[in-house]
Amino acid sequence: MENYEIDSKNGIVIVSINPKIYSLDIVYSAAYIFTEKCYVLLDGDPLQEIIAELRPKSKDEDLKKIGMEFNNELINYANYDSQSRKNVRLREILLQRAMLTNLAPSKDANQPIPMQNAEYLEKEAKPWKSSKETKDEENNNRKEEEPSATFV
Amino acid sequence: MKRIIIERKKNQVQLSFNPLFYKSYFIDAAIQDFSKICDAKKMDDMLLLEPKTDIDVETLGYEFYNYVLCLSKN
Repeated sequence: MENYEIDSKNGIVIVSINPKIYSLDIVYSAAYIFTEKCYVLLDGDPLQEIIAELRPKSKDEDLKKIGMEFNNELINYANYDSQSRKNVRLREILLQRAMLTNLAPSKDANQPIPMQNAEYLEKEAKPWKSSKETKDEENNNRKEEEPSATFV
Repeated sequence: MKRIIIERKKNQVQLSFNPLFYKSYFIDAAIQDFSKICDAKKMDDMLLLEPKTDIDVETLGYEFYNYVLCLSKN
């Protein structure tokens, strides 16, 4: 059983939608996608039967294909809608976390860095060096120190 | 029921909207947005559009309908 009628004379497809299966939001979303290639008129009753009249902007379009694609788009958005309902709690948690990590800076932020942190920055926060480079550096330091030891 | 009636002689297009799908505030917003393209007269249950530019009346009517749908979706 098909839910669409093709009016070749006027160049339109009339799709009948059951609002118990597809909510009005889903119909709006599917219709919105089709506004790019068709003129879309919604009519009927959102509680009984929704009628979508699709008129392709280009005359070359296959009307049957448009009717079937519209049905596919309805299913696509119905699936998206059901998935987003399932994930609503998860999205809330993620959003809360994201908001908490971006708290406004406190009043202490403009105060000078304490001594401990300053020492850390001087000693530890240096550009990274490979282990070979550090060994070479150590050897060079030793060589500089050794001659003085022999003279003594 | 025919929602778009084209009167080529008068260079006008009459639109009627199902209020269950197209809210009046979206229609008003669309009228404002189309104000450079056409003049709009709001009657009891229909809207009369008259193009200011050389746009085809049929295209104007259908584009207006699409635009109101886009506003309704958002």
